[in-house]
Amino acid sequence: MARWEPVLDAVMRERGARLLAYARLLTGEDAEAQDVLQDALVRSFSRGRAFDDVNRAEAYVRRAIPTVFIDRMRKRDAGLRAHRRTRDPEPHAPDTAAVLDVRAALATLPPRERACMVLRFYDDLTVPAVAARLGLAEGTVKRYLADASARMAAMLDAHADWDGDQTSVPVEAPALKGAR
Amino acid sequence: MMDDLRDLMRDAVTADAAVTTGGELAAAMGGTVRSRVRRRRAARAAGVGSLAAVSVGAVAFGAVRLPGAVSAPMGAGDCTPGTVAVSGAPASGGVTPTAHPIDVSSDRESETWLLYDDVREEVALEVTEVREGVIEVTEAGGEPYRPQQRATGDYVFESPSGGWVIYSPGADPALDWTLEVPVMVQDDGERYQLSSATGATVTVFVEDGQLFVNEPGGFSGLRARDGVYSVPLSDGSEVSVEVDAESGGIVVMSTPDVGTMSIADHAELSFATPTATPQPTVTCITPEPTATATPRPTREPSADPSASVSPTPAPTAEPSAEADPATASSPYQCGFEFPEPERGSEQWGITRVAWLSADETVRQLRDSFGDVDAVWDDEVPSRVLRIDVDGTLLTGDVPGESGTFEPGASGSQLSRHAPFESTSISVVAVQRGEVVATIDPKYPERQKGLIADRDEPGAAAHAWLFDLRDLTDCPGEDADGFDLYAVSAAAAVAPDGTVTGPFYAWKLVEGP
Repeated sequence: MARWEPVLDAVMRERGARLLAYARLLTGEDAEAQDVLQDALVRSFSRGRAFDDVNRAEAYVRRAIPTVFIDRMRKRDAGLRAHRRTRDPEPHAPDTAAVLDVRAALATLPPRERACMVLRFYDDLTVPAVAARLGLAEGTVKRYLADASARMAAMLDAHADWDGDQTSVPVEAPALKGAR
Repeated sequence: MMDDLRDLMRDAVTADAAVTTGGELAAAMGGTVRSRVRRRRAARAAGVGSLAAVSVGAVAFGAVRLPGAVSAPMGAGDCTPGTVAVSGAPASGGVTPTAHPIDVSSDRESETWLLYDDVREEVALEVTEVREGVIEVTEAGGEPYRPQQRATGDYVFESPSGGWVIYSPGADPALDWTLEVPVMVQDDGERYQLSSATGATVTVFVEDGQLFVNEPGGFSGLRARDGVYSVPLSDGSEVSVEVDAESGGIVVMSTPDVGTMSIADHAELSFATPTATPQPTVTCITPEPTATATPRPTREPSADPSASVSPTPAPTAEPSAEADPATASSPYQCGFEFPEPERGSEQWGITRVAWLSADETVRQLRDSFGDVDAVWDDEVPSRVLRIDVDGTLLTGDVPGESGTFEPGASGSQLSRHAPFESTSISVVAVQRGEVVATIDPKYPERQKGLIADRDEPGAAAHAWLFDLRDLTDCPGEDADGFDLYAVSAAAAVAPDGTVTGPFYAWKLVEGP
């Protein structure tokens, strides 16, 4: 057995559930989250690096997940733009009744905005770091964060300040919709 | 109530993670992930970026080219017959010749995409979106140039390795041996006519989420595999189609144009010529101790195939796999005489040759590649030759082991100091003690009878020989009733350009 295999196995067994949940935060759906996690694992372990321990390997995989997610979105977008032939999908109207928690609220955001929000708030990254991680211009990230924060604030009936000095953002969660 | 979005997100992840166990996850995707990783690692280790991880023969050594060696520039000098040419980077910077394809590994720095050469562990290409509709490509320190955008909105240009880079704005750059040719779609509101670049067509339509295809007997439903339909075109090729559940429409994937694409054949793919055409330098490696600038009058093999870098180029033709027998100095070359049936050293040797049954072969292929179909299309023969090679040359600090690449990081920290090493496994036919048929290293993509594999750089390598279809007779020879020799070679190139090796090894194959 190659040296990387026990580490891969340990990452999946010990950290896989949390990594999958993290991916699900981005994708909003289970099947896509599994694909994203699988691609992130393959990408991380295929490069010939020697992972000394599970923590380091998990960090690589976790960092790869948003990149993989965005890459998949880009490819899918490109394919749809080029080849879709039919009526346009119905415009998506947020169903406030379905917005029961932050995951559902995130799921209503476009993928790039969702990724920015997760990296900004869940991973506590700064705007420049989010931009670097996703390969976007800082101005684009700011625009996404501003738009997404406004939408999440509206959906959660909360206040969200993405541009503050704090690394996390206080929001006012409604009693019935709070996740905790 | 004021709450914290960060805490809400973390609570959501914690709650979500609680419903899945790692064991379930490992059981569900562990096998697939391991197979994919093995295949990609094998592809990298073999220096071949193909999906099938097929690397055979004298990828480097039959053609006596070692990719990636950087040495002092010496102009376009050629080497003495019997010596080994090492391609080097020109002093002024530019495209470094590589004898291996560049693997698809991309990372982004702002709006610049980087394609990494995973074998050499350095950036091979940078693609920058200058503005909408304009990209700039810089190859390994060369002058930037701007490929023309195709009508389909993407860009196609040749990579330093000779492969193709396909860049679609907003998507990953892709590198492949074949060019993905978009399928044209026309619809009349109900049905879609798909047309490939070759003119092959098919008509499909969607009803209740099911894809139907027009066949000679009328329309019939197709069965999707993992949500993807393989739709046969009129010329027998296939197109992958997905039904978009959201819109009820279809998403048509590209179809590969297999291995025949070239810029010359496709004027629409023409791109701006780089402003400078760098000339590679060549360093000569003289086999020791018997190497000489004078061609040997007889077919004497070199007494010791190990070599060191020679500071002086000689003005003669570069050796090749079809070298003049009088100059053959490696067991990969026609006319080479084997002084003994077996040679190897602690530094490099063939550690085992063994005949496997079909069942054993299948088991090994599955273990290495995850699936036999990944590397072998035909029925597995009843007897397959397994060749194992290893040596102390490749132990220690090897490429990749010390890499610090971080996915998605803005400043990837790939190690640029790791030594490069290259390994080859092949077979040759021998009559009268000399090589009479070889596997031509110039066309590794055509070679199917020999499959090479390695778990990771620096590890022992091995190969399976399924049949002898790839053996080509040497000029003037009609190989028949020959002995089969397994041959192998390895060399390492240090960051300062010092070459250790190549070390050659061979072994007479007996039986089955």
